Amino acid sequence: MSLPSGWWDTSASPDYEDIKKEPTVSGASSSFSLFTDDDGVDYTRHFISGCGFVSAAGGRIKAGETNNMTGSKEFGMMWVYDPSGPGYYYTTDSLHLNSAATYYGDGESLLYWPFDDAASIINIAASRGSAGTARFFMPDCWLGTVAEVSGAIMMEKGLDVDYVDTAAWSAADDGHKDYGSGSDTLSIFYRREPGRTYGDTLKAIARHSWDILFINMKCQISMISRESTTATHIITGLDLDDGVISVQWRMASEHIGNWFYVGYGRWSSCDREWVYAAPSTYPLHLKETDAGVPTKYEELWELYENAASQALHGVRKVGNNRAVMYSGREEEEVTAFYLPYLTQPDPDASASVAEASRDEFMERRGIEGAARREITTVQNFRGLDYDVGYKITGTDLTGEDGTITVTCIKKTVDFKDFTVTSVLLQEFN
Amino acid sequence: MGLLNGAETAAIDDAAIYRQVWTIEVPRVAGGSTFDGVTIHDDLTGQNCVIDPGHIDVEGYNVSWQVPGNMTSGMYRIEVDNSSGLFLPTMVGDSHDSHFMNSDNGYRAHVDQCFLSHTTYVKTGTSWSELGMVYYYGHIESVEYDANKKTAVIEAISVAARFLKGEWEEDDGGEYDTGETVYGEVVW
Repeated sequence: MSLPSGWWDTSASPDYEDIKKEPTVSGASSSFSLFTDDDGVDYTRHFISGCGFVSAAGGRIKAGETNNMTGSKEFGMMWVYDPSGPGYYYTTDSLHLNSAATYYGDGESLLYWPFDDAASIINIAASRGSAGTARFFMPDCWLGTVAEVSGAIMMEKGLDVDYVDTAAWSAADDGHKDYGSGSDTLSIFYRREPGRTYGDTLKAIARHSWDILFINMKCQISMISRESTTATHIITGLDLDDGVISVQWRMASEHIGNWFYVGYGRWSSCDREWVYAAPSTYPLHLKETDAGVPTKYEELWELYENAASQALHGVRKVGNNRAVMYSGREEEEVTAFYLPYLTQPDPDASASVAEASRDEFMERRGIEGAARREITTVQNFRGLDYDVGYKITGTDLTGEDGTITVTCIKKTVDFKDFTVTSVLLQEFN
Repeated sequence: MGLLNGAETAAIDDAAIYRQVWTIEVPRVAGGSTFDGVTIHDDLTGQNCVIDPGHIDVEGYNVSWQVPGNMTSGMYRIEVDNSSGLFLPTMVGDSHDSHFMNSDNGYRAHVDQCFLSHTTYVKTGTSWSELGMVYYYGHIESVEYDANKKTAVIEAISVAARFLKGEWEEDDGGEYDTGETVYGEVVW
């Protein structure tokens, strides 16, 4: 269930069938059969993906210099290719590829983008008068678990594996997939955001999980799963005999959150393959009232509340802050609901996929709403036995019979007096 | 599964003796990828110029949704005695060369071409056991000199932290990017 063998040391060959999650290959693409005729009746259509990757372009795809390509620096390349046909096609920043008089004719191609206005949902598709194969590609896109996507970004951007805690990354992937099987797991879709740092990118991605992202004592980027049950990153029996010099603790109620959304409306999900009798003028224009088309954004937005926590601590909203997000080169200030890249992983996504995600959020809802305690301990170099992210079971530092399980969230290693100060988080859920 | 082995744990519990070594990694030539280590301090040999060995901070991000925490910067600072002038990279032609000069061919590097490494050992029996979980290797960002105190403060950033400062660019994924390579050839 963990990351595939060779994840960190191989260059996978793209197959153009999926949004990439191989470590050194980026890009969202899809290869599919074109429409077989143009009479508006017998259309079959394949849509790009479960996450509607083109919508990441925000309806503002710009034209290339020629009609051979979509060469937008703002959104990267996107094209449709027909091996037997005239080649590339491009979009304009209007609704249609070409004028109404020319599109959808024999030998023509159409390239649409979805979700460009409030009244309709349009999925990207291409058409020619004859059968063929089209290929869409958009670079710097990844689909997969939090570990897969963040790992792929680091690899594709050239970070040497010497500076990555690869075992932790693999365990994190295990943790995500424990909630489902195969593709039936919480997945995210990410596309590059010019102007944003890789650090902020990895942070935003990490928030879709419980994993703690950090630069470890050895200066490697690490992401330690709080869900994985493997023995790695777990120690037992920390007590006052383990070189402990001092122990202090405080209730850390500032962590409590009991009201939050998941999802974000920048993109939406069209995870179904429609059978739709195309009208003559707007053959690929699907309205949100059509059967099988999810209502624009709302289906991905779900409110999670922890009523028990609210009764104790009052309503503490998570995500009601403002944040700068990026759409292409444009910045926009939005309400951040913290899970902007959540998606469903494949076009055949069933309810179980949503359930896998929901299971995770339901569990996290319980923890986020619960009280916490921070225990700060100073040790001699015995404190080097565990890093941030480590779970410590049987902790006996507070006179509570060694029953406490904590997670290390902060450390300072002092090379002058050879001490280690650690902050240990206890969650009361 | 802890990071310390049994011998190290026992040594730390029993009046531990530590040894620290700092090395400046200097490129052999400008832009070269081969670096040679110039040891500036080793407790074992008595070559001691590090006045303040500093500390490292490690902090996790994503601790909770409400207060996510911070990722620490990967920065590491040490203060060294520079009464010999060896930490002046422009020193050349003297009886002793700069610590930023490669001994193989005499290449005199700029400080920001160099890396700082720090290794810590604990004595287990008659041998030294490296505490590999706190090995540091980072790019030197700056060296600040104090002429009166005759000291220098070397500040480095870990390679991983430096990577995280990189930004997505508008030109990422330009024309002919097929996904196979960033600027691959379109084969159809």
